[in-house]
Amino acid sequence: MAWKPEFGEFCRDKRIEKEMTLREFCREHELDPGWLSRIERGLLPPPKSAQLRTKVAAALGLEESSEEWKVFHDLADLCAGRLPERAADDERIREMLPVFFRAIGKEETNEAELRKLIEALQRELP
Amino acid sequence: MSFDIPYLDDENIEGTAADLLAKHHPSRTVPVPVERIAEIGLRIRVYPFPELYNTHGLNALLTGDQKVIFVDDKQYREYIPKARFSIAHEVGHHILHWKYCQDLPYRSIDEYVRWRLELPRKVVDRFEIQSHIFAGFLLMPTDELLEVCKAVVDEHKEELKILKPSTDPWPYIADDVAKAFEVNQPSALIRIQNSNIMSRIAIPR
Repeated sequence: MAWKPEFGEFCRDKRIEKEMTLREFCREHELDPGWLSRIERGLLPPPKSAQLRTKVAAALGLEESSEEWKVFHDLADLCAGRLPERAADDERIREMLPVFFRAIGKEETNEAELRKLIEALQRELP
Repeated sequence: MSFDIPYLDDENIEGTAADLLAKHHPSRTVPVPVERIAEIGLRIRVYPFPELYNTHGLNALLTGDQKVIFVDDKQYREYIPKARFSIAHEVGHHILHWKYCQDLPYRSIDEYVRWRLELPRKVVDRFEIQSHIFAGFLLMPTDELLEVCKAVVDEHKEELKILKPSTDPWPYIADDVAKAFEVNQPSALIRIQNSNIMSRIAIPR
C-alpha cells in the first residue's frame, strides 16, 4: 500500500536541489535513510509530529513562512489525511522489472524465486 | 525476439567509465563519489531495500525504468565499500546496457517471468561481467590507481623490505589501496592484478 507520493516527491526534489545524496542528507541531519527513502517513495505517510516536520523542512532548507514552507506543510497535511493507495498496478510493475541481475552463488534463477522478488519489489516501488 | 549484449573489451569499458567521470566527476579525486554520480549526476535514486541479499541473493538491482538502484539495506548501512561497488555495478548496467532494453518483448509479469527464465546463461554472464569490470574502472581509474599504489609502496617501503622473498606483497598493498578508494580489498587487488601496475612499480626488497 502506498500513499500519494506528492509529499515524498517534493522532499526528494528539494534534497536533490541541494545536491545531496540520501546518505549525505541523512548523515548531516541525523535522519534514518530507510525512513526517508520510504517517505520519498510515498511508502510511508508524512510525519505527524510537528517537531519532525519542522526538522525535515529545515533540513531541506525551507525558510519558515516562505512559500515553499507552506507548500511542504500543505502537502504533508494533504497526504497524511489520505488513505493509502492500492499497490502499484501491473503496468507500473512491468516497467520497473529488473533486466540485469544474477543471484549470488546461484547458477540459474527459478520461477518461484523470481516471483518472490517481483512481490518484494512491488512493496518497495515508488 | 533475441536479446543479446555485444562483447566489449576492457579498453572500451574503461573508456566509457572515463567518459562518465569526465562528465560527472571531472576532478577525479578519490574516493570516487559514486552515489553522488548516480543520484545527482544521473538522477537515479539510490534506496536501501530490506533483506535484498538475505532473501533474494542480490546485492543491488536497477529497476527496468532505470530510475532506481535498490541496494541491500544492511550493505547500504554497514558495508559501505561493498555498497559502493554494487552501486557502481548498477551504474554500469545503466551506461553500458540500457540502450539494448528499449523494446523488450514482454507485456505482462507472466511474460516477463518466462522471458527472464529463458535468457541464456551466457547473456546474463556477459552483462554481469561487463558491469563488474565497469565498476572497477569507475571506482579505481587506472592513473589514480597507479598513483595510490606508488604512494602506498613508498609509505611502507621499510615494512616491505622485511617481507620474506616468497611472500607476495600485493595483498598487503591492496589493503591500503582499498581504503583510499573506499572499496573492498579483493576488488582493489583484482584491479591491480588486471592492470599492468605490478610491473610498473618496483617493490623494495
